[in-house]
Amino acid sequence: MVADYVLASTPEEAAELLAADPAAIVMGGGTTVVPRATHGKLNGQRVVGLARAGLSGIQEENGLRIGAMTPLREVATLERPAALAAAAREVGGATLRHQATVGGNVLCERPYGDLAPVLLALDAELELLGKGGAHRVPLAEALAADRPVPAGEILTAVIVPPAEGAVSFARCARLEANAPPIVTVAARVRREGENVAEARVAVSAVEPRAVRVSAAEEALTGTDGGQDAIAAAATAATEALNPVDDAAASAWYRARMTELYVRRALSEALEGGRG
Amino acid sequence: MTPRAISFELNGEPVTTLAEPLETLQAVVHDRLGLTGTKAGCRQGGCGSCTVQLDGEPALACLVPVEHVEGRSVRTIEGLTPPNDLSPLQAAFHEGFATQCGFCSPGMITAASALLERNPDPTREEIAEALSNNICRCTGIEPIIEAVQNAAARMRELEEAAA
Repeated sequence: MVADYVLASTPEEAAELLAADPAAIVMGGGTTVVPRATHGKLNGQRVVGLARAGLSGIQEENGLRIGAMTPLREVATLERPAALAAAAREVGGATLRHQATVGGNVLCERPYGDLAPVLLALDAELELLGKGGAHRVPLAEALAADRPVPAGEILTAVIVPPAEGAVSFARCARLEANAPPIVTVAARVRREGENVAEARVAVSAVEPRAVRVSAAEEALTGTDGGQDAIAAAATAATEALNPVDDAAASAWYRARMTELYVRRALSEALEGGRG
Repeated sequence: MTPRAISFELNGEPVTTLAEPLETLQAVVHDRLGLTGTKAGCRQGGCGSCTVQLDGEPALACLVPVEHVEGRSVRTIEGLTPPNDLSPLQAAFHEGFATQCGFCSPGMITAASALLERNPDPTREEIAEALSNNICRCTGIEPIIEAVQNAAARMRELEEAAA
């Protein structure tokens, strides 16, 4: 049983509670934290809830500012970025998406977390709040750090800049709905003239955290974006990643599917993507 | 680890109960309040057998800390069942053999009933989407989707007859 559950009424209060107890757990919609508590994994710990901290909602400001507590079903209905909406629609089933939040999905442990690759492809940033006030950090940098959100801070929003180029999303799972991903891929491609000027390839569910695959991005940049370039980028991605084994797929199978789904995501982006 | 009192509306009646921190709505309804229709299946949000309606929206009760329900309205399968009778959805499940072992049925019917409240004439795809968080290991799902379609048609007939 958890030691206690405190519902913070403001983001500042949540950050203060976490600064005061570095072992405390932050909870958004509860879809991953509550089962851990139910199954006895959080015994004796304090849990700080954000459900009443006023962090839900999407604002347009040169791109989007998506509050950390925004339910995935709201993201699922966004017209743009269409790839982000598509990723949100793939999480769990319809009922879960009422409860699961954007912040939780970005920060949760693999294999969950279908939004992160799209957000990485879009060069999204995290807005964090701590003692020193609010600041922003690129998502790619946060996910590469030991703790994506430093101790004593909370994630308040995800900042999504307007997409430059075409964005795509491809996901491999055992079932059409309500199944964890074997691999989730997002890509963004911007052409100048005939050639690819900028590429993003991001993958989740394969390694412990979602990652940008720079080897695949480099393999594609400067090429004509034809079938050979796509195949080279997919091979580079597979060689660069170190897939995990889990109940959904073996590491061997995950590597094969990574190659296939990177190819699919890049093909889609190079054909115009989802916007 | 001090239990605290939580008050909410359960099937139209006010209730107050003690609960431990982060105790789930499923555990409170099933174990403390004795409404055994809200089943504990996976207890991690994967199977849908604990589905209830929270302010009219389907919710996975095994993922909802009861603290979040304070002052809100919860409806369970017991609250969707007329006294000594079956609702049109329950009757359609019964007639269409959409329930075999029956463990998923309360969650299926609760989720389907929330759908029919906001959409009295759903397409097959809309039904499948609304039930995408509910797993049935017996029926193969098709009889369940048909039962929801049949119940929707029956409820529209009753509505027209009443008008």
